[in-house]
Amino acid sequence: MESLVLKITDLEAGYVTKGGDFKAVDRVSFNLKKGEFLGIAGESGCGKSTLAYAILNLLEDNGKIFSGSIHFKEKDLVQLSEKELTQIRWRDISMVFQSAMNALNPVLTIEDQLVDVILAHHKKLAPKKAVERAAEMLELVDITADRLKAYPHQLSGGMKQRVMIAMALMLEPEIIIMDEPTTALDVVVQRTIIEKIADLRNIFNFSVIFITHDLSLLVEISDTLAIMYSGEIIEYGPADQVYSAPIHPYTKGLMDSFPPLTGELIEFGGIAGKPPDFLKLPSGCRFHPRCSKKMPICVSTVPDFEEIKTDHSASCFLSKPGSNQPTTDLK
Amino acid sequence: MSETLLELQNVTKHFAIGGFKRKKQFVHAMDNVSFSLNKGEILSIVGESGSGKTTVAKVISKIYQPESGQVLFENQNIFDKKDRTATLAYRKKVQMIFQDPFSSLNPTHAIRSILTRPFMIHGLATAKNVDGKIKDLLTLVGMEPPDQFMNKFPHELSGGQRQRINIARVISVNPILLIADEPTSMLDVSIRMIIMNMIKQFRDTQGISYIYITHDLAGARYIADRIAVMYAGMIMEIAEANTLIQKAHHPYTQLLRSAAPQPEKRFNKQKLTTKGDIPSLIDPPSGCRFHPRCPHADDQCSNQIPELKEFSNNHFVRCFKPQG
Amino acid sequence: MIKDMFRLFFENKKALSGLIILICFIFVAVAAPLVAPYGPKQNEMDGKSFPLMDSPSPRHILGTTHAGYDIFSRLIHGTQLTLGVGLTTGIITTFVSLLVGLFSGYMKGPIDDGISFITNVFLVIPSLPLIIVIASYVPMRGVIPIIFVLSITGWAWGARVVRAQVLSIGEREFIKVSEVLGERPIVIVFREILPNIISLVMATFFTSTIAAIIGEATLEFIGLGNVAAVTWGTMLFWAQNNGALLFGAWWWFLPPGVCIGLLGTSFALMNFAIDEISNPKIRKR
Repeated sequence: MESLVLKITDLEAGYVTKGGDFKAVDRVSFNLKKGEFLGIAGESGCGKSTLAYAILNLLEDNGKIFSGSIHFKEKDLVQLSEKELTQIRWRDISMVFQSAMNALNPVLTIEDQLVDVILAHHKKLAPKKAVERAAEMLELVDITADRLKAYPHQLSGGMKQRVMIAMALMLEPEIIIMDEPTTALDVVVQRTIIEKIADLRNIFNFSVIFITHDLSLLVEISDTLAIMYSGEIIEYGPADQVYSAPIHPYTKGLMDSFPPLTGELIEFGGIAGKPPDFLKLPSGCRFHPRCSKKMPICVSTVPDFEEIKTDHSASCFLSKPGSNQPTTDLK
Repeated sequence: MSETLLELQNVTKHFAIGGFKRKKQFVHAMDNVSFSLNKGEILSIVGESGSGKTTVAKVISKIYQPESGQVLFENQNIFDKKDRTATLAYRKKVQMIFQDPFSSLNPTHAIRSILTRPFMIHGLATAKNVDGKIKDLLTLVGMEPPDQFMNKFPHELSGGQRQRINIARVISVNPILLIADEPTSMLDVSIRMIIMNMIKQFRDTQGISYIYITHDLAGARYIADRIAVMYAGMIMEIAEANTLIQKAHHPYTQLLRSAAPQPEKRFNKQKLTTKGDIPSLIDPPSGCRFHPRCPHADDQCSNQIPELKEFSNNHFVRCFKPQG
Repeated sequence: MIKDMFRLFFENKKALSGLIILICFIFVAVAAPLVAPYGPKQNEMDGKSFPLMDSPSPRHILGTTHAGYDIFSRLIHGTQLTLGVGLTTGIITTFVSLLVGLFSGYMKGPIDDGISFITNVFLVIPSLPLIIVIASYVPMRGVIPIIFVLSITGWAWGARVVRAQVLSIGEREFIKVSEVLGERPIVIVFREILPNIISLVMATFFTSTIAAIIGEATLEFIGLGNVAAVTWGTMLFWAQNNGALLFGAWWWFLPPGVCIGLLGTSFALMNFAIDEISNPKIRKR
């Protein structure tokens, strides 16, 4: 029985604005096992980045966690003080940011930045040792040690991203959160980064929360998939099941947005319309204005997020026993 | 029988950088690019960043002028005549959709104002009937009811809606060739297919030919009749879409293919065998530009640039050792 | 869009305060004959002469000058010319800066190089000495020469800023789109680029006007204006000339100085507001 490293229950987080409290993450719950690769997919505005930042309580300015709990090893991260959180950040849970290009300080060498990370948590370590450790990490991501003295602008996009991964791995955390780490990269570079992450997981066995809008990529690499829409997780389950037998029409619509590279070419549809305005949410199911399979109950009642098949949950009335619509099978 | 609409012959475009004192350096954005497009065809140019594909678009749309080579549109060199009449006539027939839907729209103009311009520039409407035509246009691109959008500003629209406005704008002049430069890469996933289907539909109903530029091989296969693969400023392979993917001969095309996400394969794929990065265009590799990364490269590959040759029926490859 | 900007402007506290101050001054300038107790060159009433160089009293709340003129009245009447010259110069300078910047920024190439060179020459020469030198060579003395001199020397900075902004906007995609659609360059400049630099133009106007008001006061203070005219600058000239500073006659030199400062502040406040509106990051939520 694999152990749980993270248990998130009914998390609500978002932003305080003049127009009201805007819940970008609305009652999200999920668990993460040791060594598991969880992919969170969603389009812009679904709240996935807010979720990523909320886990480490990195929301800034007017962002805050409204309620819920994030249990990591018996401790609830939501309740911890800033000082206690600083202990956990990076050492136990680290993050690779979306625009890694910009997360690196342009006036410091790679060596300085990596050593900073080590020394921040191991204050008594000799600087020479810290540099050795930095070189080791770089090698793990296929960057030769001679690049230690380079500045970020001297590295390619893919290399910068690998430096970010090395930095995230520096203290051998249990969980690494990756917020769209490959979005700005070319497809070949993206593939090398993904392969590298897989190699590193085999060595260190850390869990990954991988957030992206590129569902086709996620299906390939994840153990588990969570689909987010308008602040909620609307489907959750093993990646191959969610791919081959999606329950929620939004998931199906998303899958339909990625034409296959090989195989029969049929007309793919996409999903018309746009996500709802957070300050003016529709009644009942948030997806119903765009749903081709909408039923009257979808407009009046909010569906519960329930387990439909083993380990595979969704919030949709279509999957209820008694509804005439079977779950759609793509293959 | 289809006729050639557009033909590029050995088009080269370099950009000068560097100051007066240092020796001038050049970005070799496009080198000896040749291909043709038939009427009613969709040709997709696929490449990663730094491949030169956007430069191709900007040369065809006359934003840049090439150093050498010819661009023939309807059998005439497009850079021959420079007077206003000829330019305007070309601009009516050849239009371009840009990548970023937001920065393609002037933030200080309402939709009605934006969509009026093409009609006015080309004399296709009068002040009296232009509103009616704009509403028809909005309906055509799926923005209904049109009245709702006339007075909106770009920042009030979603990404998908903005791109529809951009498409409406270029369609309004009834072009026969549209260049689409990564029109969906900045849009949400669920909207991409809608836009791509719309593009296809305009080809089917109005006979518009397209050059569709993208980095997404799967998207290219979905929409295009033929695909051309570009790398470091040169065309490496051109073939019918399915053929290119199933029977790629150029090692770079094979690399692109194996790197592309394939959810149906669920990570049982073989690892990429090719390392290395895209070369700098300022100092490109000698000989074949892919040779430093190519697992099959030999001496000839590093010394000579291979020609783009027909390998089999209508399938062209620029390689000394085509695979498969 | 422009409507939105105006609304934001009027909702902004800084803008509103600045605007109120300016409106007060404009009102005073326009209604001067009604608001001022006496005429600007009136040194007697009902046959009785006014005292000379007198300190503030109930009948002359800011005292009198060496010639017996009521200072308070002169202050009020002086608003007309001071404000008039300042605003006129501001408008002319902004207009010239705008045209030069637009033209230079859009045409690029050798035309831009040539114009930029000229602009840089004007920028490099220290403005105050240049203003003084030109003013001293101009044969006439008065308000028109001041406007002329200040406009000649004041356009360069605004032109450079406008040019930079035009260059940056010119690279944006919607400009390229207009080119590909077949729009003519001049239409692109005025229809596409200009609306995007409105806030910059406003800021240039405010800054130029402040500079003009101060420049005008400076020239008059050192006697290069028409000393017989009634402006705040000439008041300072006469105050200084008659030893007001030495004698501590603050009621003579302080009021015009404070008014110049207040007027400048009103424009500065409006300028800050424009900054805040244009840059949403500075805007307070």
